[in-house]
Formats: sequence, C-alpha cells, structure tokens
Amino acid sequence: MTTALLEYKNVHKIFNQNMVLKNIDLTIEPGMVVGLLGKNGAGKTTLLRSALGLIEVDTGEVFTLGENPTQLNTELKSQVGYVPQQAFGYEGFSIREALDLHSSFYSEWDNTLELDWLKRFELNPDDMVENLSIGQRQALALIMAMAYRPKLLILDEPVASLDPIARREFMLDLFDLSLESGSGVIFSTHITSDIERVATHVALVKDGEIKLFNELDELKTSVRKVSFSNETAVNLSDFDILNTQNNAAIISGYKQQDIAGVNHVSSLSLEQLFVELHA
Amino acid sequence: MSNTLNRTWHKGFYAYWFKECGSLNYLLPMFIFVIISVLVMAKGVTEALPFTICFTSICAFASVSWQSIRLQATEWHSLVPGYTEHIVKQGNIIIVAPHVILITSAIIFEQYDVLKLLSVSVLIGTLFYLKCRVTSKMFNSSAYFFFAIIGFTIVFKEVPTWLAALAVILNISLVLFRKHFGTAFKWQAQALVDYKHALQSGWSPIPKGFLKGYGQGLNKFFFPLSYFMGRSLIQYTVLVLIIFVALLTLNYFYVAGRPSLFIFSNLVCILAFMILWTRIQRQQAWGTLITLPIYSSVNEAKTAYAKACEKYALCILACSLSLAGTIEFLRFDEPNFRLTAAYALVNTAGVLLCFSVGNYCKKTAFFSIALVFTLGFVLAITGVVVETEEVSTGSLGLACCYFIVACFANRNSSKQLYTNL
Repeated sequence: MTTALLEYKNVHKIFNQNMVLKNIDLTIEPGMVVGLLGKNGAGKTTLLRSALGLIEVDTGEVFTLGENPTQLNTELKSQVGYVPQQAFGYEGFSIREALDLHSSFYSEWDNTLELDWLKRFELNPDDMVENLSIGQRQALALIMAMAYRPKLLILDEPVASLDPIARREFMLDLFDLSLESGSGVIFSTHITSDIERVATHVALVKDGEIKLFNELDELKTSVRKVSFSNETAVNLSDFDILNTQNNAAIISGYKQQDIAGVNHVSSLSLEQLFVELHA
Repeated sequence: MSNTLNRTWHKGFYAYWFKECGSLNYLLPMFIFVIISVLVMAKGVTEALPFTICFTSICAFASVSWQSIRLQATEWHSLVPGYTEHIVKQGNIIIVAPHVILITSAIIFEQYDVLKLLSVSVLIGTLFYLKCRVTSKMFNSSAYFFFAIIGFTIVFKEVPTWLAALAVILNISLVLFRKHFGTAFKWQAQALVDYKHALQSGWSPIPKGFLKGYGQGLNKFFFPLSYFMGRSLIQYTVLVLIIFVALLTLNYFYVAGRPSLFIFSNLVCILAFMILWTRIQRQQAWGTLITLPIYSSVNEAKTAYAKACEKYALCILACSLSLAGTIEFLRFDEPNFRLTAAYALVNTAGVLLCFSVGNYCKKTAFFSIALVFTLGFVLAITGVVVETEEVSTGSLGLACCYFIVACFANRNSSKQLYTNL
C-alpha cells in the first residue's frame, strides 16, 4: 500500500461564520499531479494552506507526509515545497543572494536544476528581487520551491503570471519531475488548459466543497450534461448529480448507458464543465 | 546532489537588514547614535546622553520589531527549515550588540547613570518587540515610540536606582515568560497588509480612519503634496496642531520653557521626514499627476510641488511664531521678539532644508542616510537658538539668511525630483 503524501479527512473550516471548507476528503499519493479548479473564493487557497499548517482546521484531520502539518519536523519540512499566490519575502536581495541564502537551508538543493531554470525563465541573477515583475517573482518562487526536489509540492496558482511559453514548459517540467522522483503535486489554477496538459487528477472545488475528484481521463468519460424536456420523467438516481439547471443536469458516473427521458447527452471539456458547474 | 549545510550566522545579513528600507531606516540612526553615544560618554557630556542612549536602544528594537512584521507577512518562512531561527538569531545580534557596546563604554568611562537609563529603555524596547512578534498591528505605534523618545529622555535624565532595578527584574521576567505573549512570528494574512501600509505611510501614528472625509479644503490647499500623501497629510497637520496646543497648555499651567520649543522642532522635523518618506514610496505616481490638465509640463508639476512644500512650511512658521512668542511672554511677562522671530525662522528653515534634501533622493536607503545627517544639522542649529539667552541682531540676521537659503534650496532642488518618467 502506498503511503499518502497528503491526506484530508472530513475537514471543515469556518472563517467569520462562513464555512470555507466543507467535508473535504482528499488523498494525494506519489506520482499524482492534482489540479485544483475553482472560482475565486471557492476555498482553494485555504485548502492548500491547511496542508502546510498555516491555517488550522476546525474539525477533521490533515496529514502532510503522515504528520500533523502544524508539527512538521525539519526533515519533513525539507520534503515539502510551496509556492504561495503572492511571492514575498526576499525584498532587498538580488536573485543570486536570495537563492544563495535559500539553498543554504536545504541539503538536497540541486544547483544544476537551479541554473537550468534561471536560464529558462530568463532571470538575471544580479537583478534585485523588488525590481522583478510579478511573473519573474513567481518564477523565482518556483525555483526556490522545487530545486531541492520535494516529495510534496503545493502550488497556489503558480503559473498565472507567467507568459504562455514559460507556463507550458514549466507545467511539463512539473509533470516530469513528479514522474521521475515519485513526488506528488497539488496546484490550484483557473487555467483549465494547464490542468488538461499535465494533471493526472482534477479536483473541482465549489463553495468550499470538493464537488468532483477524479482522474482526468475518467472525468472526461464519466461526466456528461444531460438535457430533458420533462424533469419528472427522468430518473438520475444512478448518477452523482453535480448541478441542475432548467431541463438539464450535470452528472457523474455515466457509462454509455441509456437514460430514460433524456433527449440529449453531451460530453464536456474541462472548461465547459467548470462553467456549467457554476451556472 | 547533497550539500552540507554550512551556513554562517551572517549569511544574508546585509541584504535582509540593510537593503530593506524599513529596517534600514532604524538601523542607520542606531549605528550613528551608538558612535555618538560612545563619543559623548568619552567626552563626559552627560546632558546629551539620555537622548543618544534612548535613541540607540529604541532604534535597535524598532528595527528588529519591523522585521518581525515582515516575517509574519512571509507565508513560507515557517516551512523552510531553520529560516526563522536564522533571521531571529541575526535580530538578536542587532539588539544585543549596540547594548553591549553602550554598557562596556559606560563602565570604561564611568558613566554609571547610563546603565540605569539603559535598563529602562531596554525594558520598553523588549515589551514592544515581544508584542510585535505576535501581532503586526502594533507596529504603527512605533511612531508614538519615536515621539516618546524626546519626552522620555527629559523625564529620565536621572533614573532612580530602584526604578532601574525594577526594570531589570521586569525585563528578565519578560524574556523568561515571552511565550505567554502568544505564538511568535506566526504567518498572518493581515501582516502583509500592515507591512505594506506601514512602508508607504511612513508609520503614521494616527489610525487609518481618522478624519476620513474631512479636510478636503486642506488637501486642495496643499496639492500636489496631498496627492502623494493622501490622508496622511491632514493627519500630520492635525498632529502638529495638537502638539502645538498641548505645548501651549503645558506652558500655561507649568513653565516648561524653552525645552518645549526644542520638542516642537524635533516633532516637525520628524513629520517632515515622514512626509518625504511617503512621497518617495509613491514617486511612481508622478506619471498620473502630470496627466492632470492643470499642469502643462513635468517642470510645472515639480514647481507646484515645491510651492505646496512652502505652504506647509508657512504653517510651521505661523505655529513656531505663536509658540515661541507665547512661551516667552508667559515666562517673562513681556514679548521677546528677537528670539521668537529667530526660532520661527530657524525652525521653518529646518523643515524646508529637509524637503530640499528629500527632493534629491531617489532611493529610500540614500534618503535615510541623508536625512539622518540633515536632521542632526537642523536640530543642532535650532538647539543653539533655543539655548541662547539673548538673541542679537546679528544672530537674527543669520537666521534670516538661513531661512532664505532654505527657501531657495527647496525651490531649486524641486527640479531634481525623481519622476520615473
């Protein structure tokens, strides 16, 4: 049995009387690249922060590398990489100085990987961090989080500010890295094409709840939009209903079977699914 | 691939502490005042010691407290093994080193009163730092801290031995029970907001919502100075007026005399420093300013800025005249026109000189260094005037010249304002 890198068990979190995480059950194992898809304010960042011990959950349990994330020891911390949404902390440093200090905290720092990615992101080591663009800062944060080849990589909208070429290359690297070293990756994003390109699994988050968690390929074959003219004549009890609309529903668990009373069954791209779920 | 972790305590020290304008702003004065304190102790000028000692001590604590806010704003710091400990170790060195120098110097030069003074200033500093380690909301009060220095040094010119002993005991207790203050350096989303706000506003001591929606007339009067400062300008102006009234009231009931004038000069200079700090933090905003139809060129906008500074200085002149005139009248039952005029001119010239130097500064680090020396110069001149028993006509003439030179410097230096255009 594979040890889970990250595990959420029935997690709930309330902020200012709003439930921001609801009944979260999620397991990430080595080799999995999980794309977390959801609208702004859906609870993605809270979900990721709770895996790092930055936020404590109200009920349920979170295990990061098998431990309570608020009590990670040095060895375990060295196996977790994190890129926050807002890169901040090395103002006053040049890129070279920042990487020099940052690498000194990790015994497994890969200098070759650092140099490769500096070149790829076209970062000049002599540039000051505070003078970098948002995208460049994000790129630097990615290098800092990945150059020691962590076992668990947690990325909060890591590529939103990168240009399309850098984004595409980085996402492919991310996938390779995870395959090579048996790492697990969880990243939040709004860009469905990034998920389609690299993720093995997708978790759709809506209002603090994971509406759907599945392998990407499985999701493409099992999720459908069904249209009907008479709601009462349709029996959808064999399926998970993700959302209902006027004379239509988004269902999961479809296996090419006939559904009585349904006029039309259509497949959905990830982007269409995202939109339909929020319709 | 495996590297051994051979990190020295000073790795990243210079970049972290000296290239971040927030902490540099405190560290530079601290270094300068450590040197001054040692020299003053060596020379035996005991009158100046309370100020220099307290200033050094408070700067050291404020710098480390500031960085503790930055640490709370950094989301990933607790996840990097050893990072927080590394920074805290450097912070401890920053706090301990100047105090060790001061204590050693006090013992060598037999200035034992300094030890008593230090025990109290360290207690206040420790309290402030321990609070800042757990919450980012405390830092704005550091400005109060700065303002308090002056009063503090007057009150504690002679610290009683019992108070010093009590301060030492309290300090040891604080350090021992520091964990009761809460979890130190824990990441908080609010900390980044507080950090950025404090960096931009120059640590305004006034609450954010104060006078919201009022003072539009003043904003128009001081435009475009108010454009860079936002609400802070009104707040600072109100603060000047409050201090002005407080000093007048104090002198009405209790003859505090000329030290009140020196206190007022210190405060207006610190406010000038804050105004400039905010302007430098927002200098990229020139781009929007010059698109306004009221300016036809960048130079015109710069001149308008210089004029706004002059208007502000004019307000300081009016306050200085009233304050010095009233205080002298209350003391001697007759007006002292020469001292009143000389003080008002010198005080206003000091503010204008600060504005002039600020106009030349593009980077905050350079600004901090330049302003420390300028403030020293300006306050030294004001100190001479305040300490003079009878101001001669010649001295008044010199004060006039100083004022004219400062006006000219302000107007001329405005051409050098960095606009990023």
